[in-house]
Amino acid sequence: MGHFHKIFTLSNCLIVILLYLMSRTAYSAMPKSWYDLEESPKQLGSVRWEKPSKDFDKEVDDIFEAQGDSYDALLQESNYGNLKSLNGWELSVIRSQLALTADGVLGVLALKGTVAAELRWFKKSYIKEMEANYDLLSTDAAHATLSMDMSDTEINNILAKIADKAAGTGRIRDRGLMLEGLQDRVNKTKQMLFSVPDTSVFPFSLYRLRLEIIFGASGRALPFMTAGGDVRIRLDWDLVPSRNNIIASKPDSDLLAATNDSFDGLVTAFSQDMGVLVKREPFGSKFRVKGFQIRIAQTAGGRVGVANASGSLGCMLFFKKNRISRAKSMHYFDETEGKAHFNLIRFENQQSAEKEQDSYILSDDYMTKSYQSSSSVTSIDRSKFRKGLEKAENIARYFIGRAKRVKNRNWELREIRTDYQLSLAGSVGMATIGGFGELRIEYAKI
Amino acid sequence: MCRLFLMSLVLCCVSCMSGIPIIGIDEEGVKNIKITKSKYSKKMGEVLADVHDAAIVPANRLALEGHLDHWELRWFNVGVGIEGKVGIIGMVSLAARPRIRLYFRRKYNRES
Repeated sequence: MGHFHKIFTLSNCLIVILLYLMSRTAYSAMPKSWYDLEESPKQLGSVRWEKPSKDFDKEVDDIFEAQGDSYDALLQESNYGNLKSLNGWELSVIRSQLALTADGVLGVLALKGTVAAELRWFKKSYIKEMEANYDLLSTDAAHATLSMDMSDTEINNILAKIADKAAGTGRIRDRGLMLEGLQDRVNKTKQMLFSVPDTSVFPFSLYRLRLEIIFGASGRALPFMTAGGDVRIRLDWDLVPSRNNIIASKPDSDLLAATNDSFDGLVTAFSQDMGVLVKREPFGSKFRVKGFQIRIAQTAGGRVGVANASGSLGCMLFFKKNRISRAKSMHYFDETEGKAHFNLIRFENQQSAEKEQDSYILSDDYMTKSYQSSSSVTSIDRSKFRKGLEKAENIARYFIGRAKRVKNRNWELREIRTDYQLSLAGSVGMATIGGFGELRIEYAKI
Repeated sequence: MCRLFLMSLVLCCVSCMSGIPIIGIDEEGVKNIKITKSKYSKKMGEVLADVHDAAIVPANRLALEGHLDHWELRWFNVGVGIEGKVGIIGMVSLAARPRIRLYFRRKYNRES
């Protein structure tokens, strides 16, 4: 009997351990259609909204609650957290980020080089100024802001200073080569920006173009970061408002039917298509769509399109919502329904290049060759893209709704950013790690 | 004995329902592990407070004492990355990786 009792107890223990281990690997996944994209146009049927499971709702609520609790705990544990203002300094915002795995699991990213939470302290008197420029400054890269009304001499002086600083660090051998690379990219971008039409009658307008350039030790511009001591340079072009008003405010028919391969066509297409995000506003009582960012690239043959890649390929476009009535913006949105296509540019070898960068330092030549041989272009149907955007908007609404449910004594939800990826079929879904996506949540101190 | 077994079962189920997924990457690819909500908020709160306090004192001193004649510290970020080690029975450690950024601006900009 005693022997039997021992066996029974032991088997119980084993079952409990097994259940415990199983509980550690039980995850509630996001609905597959939110992130797993159809790559063939044939597969893209009706865009039906798939509701998440109750378990996933709970998991998301738990994450938001745990984050809120940890920020409260910070104020309690810290010797300075409860001070409203510390000699003019104020803890103003906490930004956190979540990641989505390829299996649809949403969680906190524990990975070298990523930040799970970021606390922002501002000098009280500069809060407004700094918050306006936060996104501009929030980078490890050396950065400079250029604008369209700067002369060539002014721009070249800025670029020369950047090249001097980089050479001064000892991480760039050939300052001249680096400066040439910078000037080349800047001149090409400037020409592109001169073609940008007035989009102020559309739901959104382009207001900034960001170039991120990575230089290898030789001074050559590289498409991806290597494991070596790269130098990252960020150049922001701000479009001067007067520049946008050069073209008449009423768009002509060519502009409404944005073309495939041109930069101005792409900018116009996005200024119109993102009207999807305005159609159903507002997000609850307080939340509004603020803007969106898109990475674009150009192939060796000169075709411009949305870039399906990270790294320093192409550049980032920043759009903001125009201050016009919804009826007016919807007029042009409706008129351009189903017109034309735009390009999606994929860089096939990116993943293999990224994998290899872990094992050894890639040479500048290897990186450049890898980039040159890897792009392919697919035409995206804009009407399908708009349907994809509707889904993206619903996903954003879901996360705002869940985050708003969390009641917190010290913090309130301020901003949510979701990253999306675009499929070959024009569908849009949440970006996953292994891609380049994340969900960023900002809480402001009450 | 049966009661003990049932209680353990319930505990496991509760643990399963209210965990925070932590996502990491190792040589074999993406790895997920769950930790309880209370453990996450307690640990994260402590880590944030430690890193925060370590940063605010020197930053405040730097701003007050004005070591630099032409530059002014206007804002700073304290970022905390986490790194976990996973054992057979789950997460065995959660370590912080602090990152601090200071932003200075030339003093004359204030007047201009």
